[in-house]
Amino acid sequence: MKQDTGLNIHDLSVGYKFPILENINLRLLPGNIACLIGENGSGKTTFLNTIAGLIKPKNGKIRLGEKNVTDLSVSHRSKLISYVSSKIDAFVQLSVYDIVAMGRSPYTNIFDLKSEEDKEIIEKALEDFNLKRLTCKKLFEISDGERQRCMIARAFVQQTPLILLDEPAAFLDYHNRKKLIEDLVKLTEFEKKMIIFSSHDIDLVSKKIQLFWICHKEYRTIYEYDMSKDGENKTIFEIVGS
Amino acid sequence: MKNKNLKIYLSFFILLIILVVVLLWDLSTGNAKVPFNELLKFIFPWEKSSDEYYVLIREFRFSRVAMAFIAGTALSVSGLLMQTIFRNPLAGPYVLGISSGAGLGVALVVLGTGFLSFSLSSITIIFSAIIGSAAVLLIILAISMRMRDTVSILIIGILLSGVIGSIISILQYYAADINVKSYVIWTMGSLSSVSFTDIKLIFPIILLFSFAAFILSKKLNLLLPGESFAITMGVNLKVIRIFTFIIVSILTGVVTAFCGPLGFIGIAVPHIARWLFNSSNHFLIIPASFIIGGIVMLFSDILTHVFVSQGIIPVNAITAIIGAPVVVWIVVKNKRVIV
Amino acid sequence: MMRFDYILIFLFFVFIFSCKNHKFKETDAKIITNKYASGFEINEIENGFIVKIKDFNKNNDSTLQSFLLTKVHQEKADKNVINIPVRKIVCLSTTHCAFISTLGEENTIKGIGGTNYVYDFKIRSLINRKEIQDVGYDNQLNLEKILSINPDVVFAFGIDNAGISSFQKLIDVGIPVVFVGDFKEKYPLGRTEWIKLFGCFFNKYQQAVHYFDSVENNYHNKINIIKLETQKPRVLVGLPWQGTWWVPGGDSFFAKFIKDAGGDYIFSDNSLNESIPKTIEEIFSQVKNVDIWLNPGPYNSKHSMLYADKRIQEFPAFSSSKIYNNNKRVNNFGGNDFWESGVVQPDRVLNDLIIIFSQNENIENDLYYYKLLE
Repeated sequence: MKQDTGLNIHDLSVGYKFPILENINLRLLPGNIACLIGENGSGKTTFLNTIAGLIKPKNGKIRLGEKNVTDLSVSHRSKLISYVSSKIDAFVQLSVYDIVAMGRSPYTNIFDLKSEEDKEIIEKALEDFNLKRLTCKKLFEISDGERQRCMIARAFVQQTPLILLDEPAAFLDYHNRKKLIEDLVKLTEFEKKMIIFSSHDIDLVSKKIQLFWICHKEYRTIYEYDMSKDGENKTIFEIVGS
Repeated sequence: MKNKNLKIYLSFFILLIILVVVLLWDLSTGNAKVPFNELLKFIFPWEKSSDEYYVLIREFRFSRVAMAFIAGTALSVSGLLMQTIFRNPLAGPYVLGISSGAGLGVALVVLGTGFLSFSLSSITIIFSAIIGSAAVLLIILAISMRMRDTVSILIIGILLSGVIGSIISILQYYAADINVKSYVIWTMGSLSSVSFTDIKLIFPIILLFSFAAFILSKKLNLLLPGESFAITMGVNLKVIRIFTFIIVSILTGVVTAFCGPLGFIGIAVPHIARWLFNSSNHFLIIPASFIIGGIVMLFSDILTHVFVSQGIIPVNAITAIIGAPVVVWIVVKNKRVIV
Repeated sequence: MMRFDYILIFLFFVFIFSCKNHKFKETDAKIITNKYASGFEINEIENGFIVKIKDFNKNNDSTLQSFLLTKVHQEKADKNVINIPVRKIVCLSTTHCAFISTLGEENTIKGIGGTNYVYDFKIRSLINRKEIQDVGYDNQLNLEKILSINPDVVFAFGIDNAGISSFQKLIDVGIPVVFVGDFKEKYPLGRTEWIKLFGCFFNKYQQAVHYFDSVENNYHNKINIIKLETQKPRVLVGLPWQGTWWVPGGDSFFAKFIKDAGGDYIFSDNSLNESIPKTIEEIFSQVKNVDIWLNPGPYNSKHSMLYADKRIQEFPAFSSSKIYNNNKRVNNFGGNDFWESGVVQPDRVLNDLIIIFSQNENIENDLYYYKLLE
């Protein structure tokens, strides 16, 4: 197993003024998806913000392949890591198409002119996420769930090796939730992406997810739990309970 | 999609037609009687203009019209940039105190050094106005980086405006009467105090920096869904803020230096542009604000001449009468505040 | 006993009626008609005067203030009663200083609003000897200082009724405030005529009348000397600022000066008393063939006039006309004697203008208030 591929988190501490989570050591290889779980306030969003480069780590290193994520320029990072935040500012006169198309920004020129390839990628994402009939609608004209799908589609269009999602299923109904998880898993398998998504809602996680990163509020760190290694057929409830 | 593009081209075409109409109308407006064919001879010099009218048109009529156009475009683009950077639909050079800052810069020159040194050169005035507006913008930016809440930033901008006003009042207290009077007149705003040589200096500057704003459109678009979003999409916040800051300072500073503070255009026009094109896409809205700003200011200039038979109404009165209801209407129409 | 009661009741009623009667008896007053001024009225009475200040906002039809000036010393029963001659005064305009100095009463001045702007050398030396304090003006009016001086009267100039309210404190305390409205007079001699009002306060009414009559005489003599056949020079006044050029109205006092001195004022074709705003464009297109250009702001040279607006150099008048400014007598702080002694010496102003309008060469030494700009 080459240590140089994938996401390597080494002795990481994250937080704003004071560290919320410390001594985090995790790895994620291409083609794998990790589910970040924990109670409210356990630091999931802070952790994701740090990986995404929005906050500086308090300590430790985050490496993607050979590169140190914190050393990267903002524009370079946007080609490697995409982030779907749970907060969306809806009061903007941008259409669904505009938002999804923004995913290609790291690759377009200064006038944001899109090549044929760019347009194809956008169209495909719109189809995959069932947004074709909504393309001209403005962000504030659609439902929360539709908005969320729109943002996720944008992340897909960005075509980064690592995708971070904060509570991506929060506003989705059961059917769409299931579909989203399936899509994410498919993406990791077929395109060898690395995906980390957080959730505080346990029952959404179908059997397809094997790798869990558990944020422990009291111990203030993240534990890894790989269900595929654990032979027993425990349910996730039992694991988290312990 | 093609349909949409066609609509956009058509809209711009119509706007340009309106611009030309208003331009010609404003050129023919004024207290002096100028035959229309003389105006045409000036614009399209296939025939040499008669001596009688040439200087009149060049120094007084054309200069005033050109300044109106420049002021409208520069302030509108400034206002748009500020609304995006501060994520505040009520941002504008006037409201957030930037114009006042420019005013303070000029006040220090006029009131402090004395009336006789006023307009030592246009460069001095431009310089002091830009420094003034840049200083205020710096303060507002510094505060906005610590505070996320846009309403608070707006309040601080208004307070800053007030503080600057107080400082200027104090300067007026201690300055000689003549300086005070000339400063007060300056604050009323005037489009007709610019010479043709000044126009030759200002126009390229405004064009250049408006174009610079246009170049920033992609990054500005990415700012719209939020600053975190922008960062993850590859926008360097510090850099974009600095560039925007420079552009706004210069656009606002230069106009304020020559015309005095002009209000409401910066806030109202971007809203009109966004409403017309039903979009916040800066590639569309920056040029749209540019043209619409020019139209509105030219029209305001026409109105300053219409109501009195001699002399004119101060232009600030007209822009306030036009601009304020527009802002109220747009905010109310959308029921929520939209950037 | 009964009769005594009746007497008491009778005296009681007499007492009440006499107390009620605060108004001074105007029936004995002899109204003195002014020759030119309409802003004040003097009524001569036994042992004094009743002076009235007219309300210039209402076309001088109604009375704004009324004062009883009495030579016989009275305990101040009424706020509007002033014992004359006054011994301590405060004045808020340098023009007032000129009136008072002409009457030789400058020693009564204990406070001036803006001592820096005074030109008169007699008063300047009093200021330097700290016998006159600066009481500020406009926003900076220092009421407490005036109170500490405790003058017999304050000569102020109120632009409108709002001005009265800022002096209310003084009036309440018993210090009379007189609103001198000389600057509103339409005739140059009308402004000078206010010296009669000042004369009343110093009990030098006859002296003031005498002075005025001689000035009036000089003034009219000069007008009569002007030869009728000479062509009247066309006169432009003022300077643009921020694109607007304020010119004196056709009926203003300066327009009258020009007319009296034999000049043809370009904007004499209206009956406005105040300054008219015109755009620089208007002036450029309408104004042709200017012979004399007067009062271009505060400037001392042709070149510095361009500071107001570069485009002045495009005006034919800039190179072809003779430009004179009334700032020959200006002190270090910008105090201009034209607005000070010029008000009491309109004949001198007229003289200057007549000489200027003669369009002769080498006349600068003969000019008192005006100088040629080059």
